[in-house]
Amino acid sequence: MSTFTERLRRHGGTIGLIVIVLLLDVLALSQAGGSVERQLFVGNVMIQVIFVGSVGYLYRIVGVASFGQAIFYGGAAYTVGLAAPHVGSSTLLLLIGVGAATIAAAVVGLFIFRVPGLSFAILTLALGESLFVLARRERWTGGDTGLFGFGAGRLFGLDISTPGAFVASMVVFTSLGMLLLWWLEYSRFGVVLRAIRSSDRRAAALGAGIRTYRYAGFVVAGAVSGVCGSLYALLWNLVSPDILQWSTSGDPIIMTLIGGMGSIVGPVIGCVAFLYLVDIASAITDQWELWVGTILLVVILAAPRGVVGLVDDAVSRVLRRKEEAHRVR
Amino acid sequence: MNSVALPAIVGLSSGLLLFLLASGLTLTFGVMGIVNFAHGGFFMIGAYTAFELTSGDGGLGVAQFAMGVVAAAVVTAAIGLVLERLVFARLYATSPIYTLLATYALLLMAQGAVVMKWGRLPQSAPLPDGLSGSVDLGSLSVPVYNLVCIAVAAVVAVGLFAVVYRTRLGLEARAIAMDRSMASALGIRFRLVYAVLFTLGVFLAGLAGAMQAPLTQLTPSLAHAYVVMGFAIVVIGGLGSVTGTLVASLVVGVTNAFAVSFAPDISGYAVYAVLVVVLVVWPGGLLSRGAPVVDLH
Amino acid sequence: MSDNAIELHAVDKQYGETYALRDVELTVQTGEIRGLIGPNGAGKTTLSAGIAGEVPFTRGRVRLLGHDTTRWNARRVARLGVGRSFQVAQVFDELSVEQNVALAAEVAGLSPLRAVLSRRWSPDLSHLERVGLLGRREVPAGELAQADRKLLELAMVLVGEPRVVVLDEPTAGMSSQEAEECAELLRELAAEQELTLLITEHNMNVMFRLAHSITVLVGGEVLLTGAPEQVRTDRRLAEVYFGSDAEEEEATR
Repeated sequence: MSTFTERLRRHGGTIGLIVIVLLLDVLALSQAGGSVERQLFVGNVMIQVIFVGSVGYLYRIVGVASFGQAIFYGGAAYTVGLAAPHVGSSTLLLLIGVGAATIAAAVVGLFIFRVPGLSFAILTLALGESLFVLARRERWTGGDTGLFGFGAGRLFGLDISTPGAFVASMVVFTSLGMLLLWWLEYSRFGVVLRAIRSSDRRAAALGAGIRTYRYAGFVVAGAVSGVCGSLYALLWNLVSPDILQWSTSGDPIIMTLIGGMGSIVGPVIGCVAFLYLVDIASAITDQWELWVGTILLVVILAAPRGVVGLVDDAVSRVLRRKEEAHRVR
Repeated sequence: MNSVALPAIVGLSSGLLLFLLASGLTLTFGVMGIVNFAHGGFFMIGAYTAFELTSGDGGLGVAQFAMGVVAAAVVTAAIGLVLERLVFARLYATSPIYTLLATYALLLMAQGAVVMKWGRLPQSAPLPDGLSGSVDLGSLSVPVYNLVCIAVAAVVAVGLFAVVYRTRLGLEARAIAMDRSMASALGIRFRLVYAVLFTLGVFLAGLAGAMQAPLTQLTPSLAHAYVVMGFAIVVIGGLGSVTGTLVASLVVGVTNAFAVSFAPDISGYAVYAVLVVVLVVWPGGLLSRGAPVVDLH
Repeated sequence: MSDNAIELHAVDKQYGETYALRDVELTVQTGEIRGLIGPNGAGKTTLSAGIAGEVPFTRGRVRLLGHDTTRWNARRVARLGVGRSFQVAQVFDELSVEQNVALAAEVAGLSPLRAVLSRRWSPDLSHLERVGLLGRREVPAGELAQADRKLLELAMVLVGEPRVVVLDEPTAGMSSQEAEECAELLRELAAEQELTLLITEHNMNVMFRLAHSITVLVGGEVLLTGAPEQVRTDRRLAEVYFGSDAEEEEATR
């Protein structure tokens, strides 16, 4: 393989990510004249790709399984909703939401030092469920209806007062969010985490603080989830208990699987594909659970490395054929 | 005294039913190394099948009810066996993450199938006339059905322990759980053990669902609610420990019952509070003496 | 006393009822190259793993570089200045050769906070050069041949400037030529940096040429410790490895 193609393969993830972010930005900007419904949908997609990206990061790089990211996502959203009557600035609301999520992740993450992986995953599941029950039950969280009616003004100077303006502003936030996720993977922090995933024996034998790094990774993922949850609340100006359901934690995992668990670009692709799929499916049928479940099962059994895996396989085949043609000549 | 005895009995009955549910999870995890999210789906299928078989016009006799329950469990087990051969057999060698997601997919499909047949609105499964009253034990008035549940579940539980500890199959299962490579060197019949064990676990889940049905509102979200509960129990008791699962099930059942009686505000997450406390003090679960152990004991 | 790099006293390792190690006494002086030999299943790997903190001993005391490390885990032992190489080379397959070494040099003292602030590593590549892998620094470690992986692992161990190194079959999988070169390299490095080495080996040529002294482990117990010549000609060793046929062999030579 020529060095150019080698370099291309090696940086495939980064290149793919840049391409997708650009496409998403174009998508967002194209909604300027569209219906509110479409603007809300695309705005949601822009938020979700970062959230799902953070979940993918948690699994793939940090190596921690968590079924409770909804705690930080939904928790931040609720924090925004609860603080909104008292705080006028959307920027400040976002920071408060992220702060709450980060503190929560810092507390929950402590169990990483204490408890084996599967138990930790179940613990996060249980905590997520508890939060869901709490949100539905208590009056101060708005009960089953939730919190609503808070407006949004400007976020770090960008206009988010209408869905249209929000979607346009998301160009900035999604791009920054993706940059952050990229940095978290390629900075020294990410390299250490990847090394730990590669061989924790070797990492320990070199004196690496394995659980400290995993904890840090978990807190960071929680913080990013908090950013997304806060943005969600500001987009819809409403927060209902549904946001704390297990599906909020489980769907990103599915999306990551569909897109491909092995690369930075997989979760993003999976997220977009999944959201559009569900959008189309629920317009057609009421039985979306059955369809989604079937599709997921098919993907797992037939294409375990997801969309990215399929693309990777196809590219390898093409490159191999080209090489053989070269050699024959 | 009276106000304590009733929740205790209700707790015992629900705890034993939970054990039937959770034991399947423990066995699949301890022996096959599989985290089966679809298990709650089997519970739900058992409940709805029993509902389908026992509801209708006219009175419900005890015999008819019993047959309905057993039939529901058998049907669920049959579905489980088919899925085991078709889907789970392909998951044994893959990573836990994929297994988790594949089983989550199955859970979604099960929920979808139930919604298709029975809709999303809550249903109520009937109690047979003969078992619907209360009986007086001393100064206590105890619902008959709870006593029946305790009796049946206890017998089944004893049967399960007998299978695990007294049969050739159980021995092979425990060998696999303890040391997989050694077991294969000894020529243990993996596929047979897996198939039987899995189906047994599903049968128990279906039975638990069928028996729980008259006591709960039936909605498709049962699947999800009970799988979470099941996993919490398994973790509390200690992954892979059948005895631990029993203890944890009883703890959870009784805690829930007491919470409902005395602190209804926290009854939704009493279990999870227990989970957190247990994990802080015994990171591996109750019966693992502090260090996480994955074998069947 | 303070001259000893490694001290083991009355060390046992039990798995259930079975003893993998029983009543092991071991003393390795600073700067010494100690070989550890014995038939398969004798407990050599368990002993190495236990000293490195990967596996807890059931009974006994371990002192490394003057510290009581009996209850220490692998991370703490590593930070004390103990390097470790494994029978099957453990390197970071997904990362490049250069990244592997960079990480090895810096990770022990690198907090997540500092790590998240930069992308740059500043690796000392001299060790890579020493083992001959400098030309392939960009290659993903997973693509290296087995022998090169072991050399990479060696470079990674050395870049951390350890004072003691525990090596598990460093020449496993190498041709006799490669093994000799590796042994020579180890000897040079140990002399230059005043390293204490504890080496488990099956390659007797390498072992007898490299080691200052050798400990023989049989059935979890120490059979003898002595200079290479002493050990080589000891009757009991022949019996252990070859059975009593060894006596016949000797007679027919």
